[in-house]
Formats: sequence, C-alpha cells, structure tokens
Amino acid sequence: MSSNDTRREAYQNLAFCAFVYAVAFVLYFGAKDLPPPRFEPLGSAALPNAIAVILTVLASFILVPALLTLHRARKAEADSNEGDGLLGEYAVWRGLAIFAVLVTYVAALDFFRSGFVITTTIVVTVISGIFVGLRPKSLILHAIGGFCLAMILMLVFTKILYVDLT
Amino acid sequence: MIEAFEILFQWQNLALLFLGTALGLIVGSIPGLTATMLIALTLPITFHMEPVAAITLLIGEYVGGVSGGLVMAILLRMPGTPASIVTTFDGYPMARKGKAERALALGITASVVGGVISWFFLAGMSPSLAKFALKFGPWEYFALVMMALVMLAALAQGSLIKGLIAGMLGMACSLPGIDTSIGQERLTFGADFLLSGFGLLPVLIGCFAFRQILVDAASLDRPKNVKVPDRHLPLYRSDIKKHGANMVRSSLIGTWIGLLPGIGGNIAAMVSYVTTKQISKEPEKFGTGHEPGVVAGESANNASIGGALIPLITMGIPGSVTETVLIGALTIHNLQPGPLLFQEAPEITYGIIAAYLIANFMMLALMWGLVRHIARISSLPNSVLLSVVPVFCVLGVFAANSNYNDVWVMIGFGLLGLGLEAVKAPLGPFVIGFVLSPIAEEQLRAALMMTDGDFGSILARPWAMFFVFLMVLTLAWPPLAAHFAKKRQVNREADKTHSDGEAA
Repeated sequence: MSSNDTRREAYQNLAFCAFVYAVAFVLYFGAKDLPPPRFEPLGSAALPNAIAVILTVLASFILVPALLTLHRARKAEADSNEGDGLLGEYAVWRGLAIFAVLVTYVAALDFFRSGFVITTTIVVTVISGIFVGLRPKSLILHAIGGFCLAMILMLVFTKILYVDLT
Repeated sequence: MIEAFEILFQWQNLALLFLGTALGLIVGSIPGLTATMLIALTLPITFHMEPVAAITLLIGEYVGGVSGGLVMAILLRMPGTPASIVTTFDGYPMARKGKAERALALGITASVVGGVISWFFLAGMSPSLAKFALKFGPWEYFALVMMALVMLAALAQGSLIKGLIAGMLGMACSLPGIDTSIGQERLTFGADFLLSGFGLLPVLIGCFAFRQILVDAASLDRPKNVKVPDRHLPLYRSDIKKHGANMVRSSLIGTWIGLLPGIGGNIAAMVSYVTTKQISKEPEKFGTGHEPGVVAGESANNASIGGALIPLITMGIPGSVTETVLIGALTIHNLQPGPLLFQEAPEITYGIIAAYLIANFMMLALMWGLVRHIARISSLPNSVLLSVVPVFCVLGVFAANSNYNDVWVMIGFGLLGLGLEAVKAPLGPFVIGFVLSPIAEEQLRAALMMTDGDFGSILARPWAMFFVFLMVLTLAWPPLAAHFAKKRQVNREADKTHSDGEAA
C-alpha cells in the first residue's frame, strides 16, 4: 500500500471515528431526559446509554491507530495517475448527477405533487441521457420506454394495489 | 397426509399453487415489493375460496416470495428481505465476474434442497419440535440474537472492530420512536416523523439498493457479459459432492433456527453463512464470489420457512408478519390455528404441509425455465438499469405506508451505506443490528422482569449459556487463530532452518 493510500485510509478512519462519536453523543444526549425505569429494571435509557458507551470504546480502537499512522507517515511522491484521475472524476460527477436527479424526483413528487407519469418519464430520460449522451434517437427511445413503464406502474399501483400515486 | 396430496393434486388447487408461486417469485424479485405485501393484498381475494384453495395460494406466494429475493440479491446486490442479505456477499461478486447463471442455479438448487429438508421436519416432527421451541425463554432468545449479531460482525469481511461498530450503529438507528414496552417517546427530538421510527424497508432498500445504484453510477466497471449456456444450466454431478454437505448442514441450521418464532428467518441464513465460513478450508474466499457462501445462505433461508411453519400450525404462533397474515387467512375461514387444528381440520394442516413441498418444486421448475433469461438482467446497459431500478425503489418504499418521509429515509440510509462502505465497515452487521435490536431489548427486558432484575439468572439457562459461549468464542477466535497461525509459521521456519543446517 502506498504512503498516500495509508494516509487516505487513516483520514477515512478519523472521519469514521468522528461520526461514531457524534452518534454516541446524540444517543447520550437523547437518553439523558428519559425517565428512570418504573415498571421494569432496565428502562428506556439503558440501551441508548449502553450503545453510546460501546461505540465510544470501539471507536477508540480505530482512532488511536489512525492517529499513530498519520504521525508516522512520511511524505511520498504522489503516483502520476492524472489520466485515471480524470476518468475517475467523471465517474464521480456522474454518480453525483444521478443522485441529484433522484433527489429532485422525490422532491417533485413529495413537495410539488407533480404527476407521477410525467415526472417518472422525465427522470428515466434524464438518467439515461447522463449515460448515453445527447443522442436524440436514444433519448426518444428511453422517453418512450419511461412513459410505458410509468403508465404500467400507475395502473398496477392505483388500480390493483390501491396506492394513491397522485 | 396422502389425502392432503390427493386434494392438492386437483387441477384447481395445483393451478392456484402455480399462480401463487409465480406471483411470489415476480414480487420477490422486485426491490421494494415483498411477499408479505403480496399475501396481504391477496387475502381479500381468498374470502370466497375454499380454505384449502386459499391456503394453497398463499403458501405458494410465501415460498415464491422468499425465493424470488435471491434474483436481485445476486444480480444487482439488492436483497428483498434481510434474509437475502448474505446471498449478496458472494452471489453479487459472482455475477460481476460473469457467473450470474451459475450463482442463480446454485441458489435455486440450494433453496429447493433447504425447503425439502425442512419439509421432512415439518411433516414428521412438528409437535415434538414445537415443544422444543417452547423451552426457549427470553434469556435464550436474547443470547441467540446477540450471538447471531456478534458472529456476523466478527466474520464479515473487514476488521472485527468495524464490524462490531457497524452492528452497534444499526442498533442505534433502531432506537428512535416509541419504546413499545412503556410507551415512552425516545430519541425523537420532537420530530413527528420519528415517532414510528425508521422502517425496515427504507433502511434495507436504502443501504443496499439505493447505495448500489449510486456506486454503479459512479463506477467505470462494466459487468461482464453473461454467458448463457446452450442447453444445460451450469450444474454438474460434482456439485453434489462439492456442495451436498453444505446444503444439508445449512438446511438443518435453517430449520432449527426458523423454528424460533420472531427471529428465525432473519438470522438462519446468517448463522449458516458464518458457520460455513468458519469450518471452511478457504475462509478468506468468502465474500469474493465463493460458491459455498451462496449455497449456505439460500439453503438456510428457505429451510427457515419450513421451520417457521411448525409453530404456526402446531401452536398458532406466527414467526413473522407474513405468518401473522397467514393466521388471518385461517381465521377468516373460521379456523382457529393451534394444537386442535390437527384434529378439527386435518385437511388444512396437512394441506399446508403438502402445499409447502409442492411449492418448492414449482419454484424450481419456474426458476429453472427462466433463469437463463433472468441472468441477462445483469448485463443490461446502465442507462436502462439505473433509470428503472430507482423508480421501483422509490415506489416500493412509498407504497408501504403511502408516505414520502420513508423515501427520504431511504435516501439518507443510502448515503450512510455509501459512507460505511467507503471506510470498509460492513453493511450486513449494520442492517442486522437494526433488525435484531428491538428483539434483543424486548427479550432482555422480559428476562429481567421475570427474574426481578437478576442478570445472574442467565447462568442457570444452559441453552442461553451455550449461545453466550459461542459468542465469546467468535470474538476470541480471530486473534487466537492469528496467534496459532503465527506460531505454526515460526515452527515451520525453525524446522526448515534446522533441516537446511543438517543438510549443509
């Protein structure tokens, strides 16, 4: 494992520990106002407190080695992977774009009550466009497919499963 | 029993069984839709049917629904139920290597073997097995649940500490909501949508399906093209020797653990998987596309259905929400599930037993005919897969409660799942911790209430202590095994140096 990989893993572990400590704090904070046990020996606060303690202890087993790793790590020459890096960045942006589309899809259905069929058709077209690019024939085919899928799902969920999608 | 088979083999009942199994397979294959949902929706349709016909249809849906989960678990790493999670550990890597049809074939065969073996217990030993299950009290349940969680955390891929942390984080995520024991709001922080806590379906779909969508979207890898065989499915005679013992052992584990109401189905596959990994000569291969991993999970998964039907028909105790709905089906036909059902309506009880066996073979026939084509799903272009699957995920999660808050929860847990995977914390223990935490807490509280808060009373429960012993052994085994391996290595090197010296 290269020096950069080791340091990256150490930083990841530090971030993970920070998250775990935050969860432990939330558990402890949320449990401190719970009433003491009345009808049974354990009470509502027992499990949150126990999990908070266990998480804190376990995270320490990751925190200490991560800090030691960073302390000992030496600066190394970075691998010259500029070509791969560019491709990797594109793929990450693609993932982020699809995540943004999906969040927008759910927001449109939830907050703006947009029509299920039209919204689903647009989302299927946009996501496929992210992969295949702005090729009109391909986009039209995906749009038609998305529309058919949306109509079938609308029919099944509203008429058979009695789930209101409007 | 023979009369039950004669009734079942009437063409109407066979047709209903076939229809139920097929529907169950389809629904189980779709992320977001579950067998429980299908059975609940079919229940009103069975009002006007004969009881045997109604139960036949529902049992077919149950078997098909559980088995259908393996399809998406293998092809897309999207388990339909918690029990299918372990199938993703090795099934999905096999699919990525272009062995999707092999993984599916093994999974299907293992499922049927598991179902058939558990059928023998269901048919022959129901009353005595049910009595065994009754001996399990709260301490035994608590110890079994903690053992399963620790085993999975310790033996999942990656570090033991991160596995345990993932399990604990899963348990923490199950805490918000109303404490069912005393009706106290807990960790809701004033948010109304947290009053009912996080649902299992949003968590499961978020952590696996939604997360996998984002990973695949950001990945440059293309899944290898599936090689569809011309005539034969990739199952060979040598598989009997290679996987036979694993199938039988996993089926027995699945049946015995499935017997325990409330928890059996969820942990049977896990315990079977970790047991197989522990006794394997190649434990390091598990999680990388190792065939025994798929076999162990699927055998136990389906065997647990047969195990779960035992307390249902002998004592009227449902093992899960699905069995609760089945009890509903019996009730609406004026049948009281319980010990007297064998005397009052033997055609129903033996009908359930017979239907369960035949449904397994129907599932085999259906999957066998379709698996070549199903396997092609994994090589569809991402522009199709990653635009269609998210729609199913959103719809499936929304449909459970007609509430978009569940969909936002799914997205949140999808991001959490991404983060956990980025730091190499395994997802299996996280989801299982989420599922098992309420059971563990409930059983621990019941045990302490029965014993006036005496933790030491667990020492007087042999089965509970046995599970605790296994839990401690699982935690201690990795460092012990590493220590013994190092000692063996040192001894080998010393012997080699000594023999080289003598030769010189």
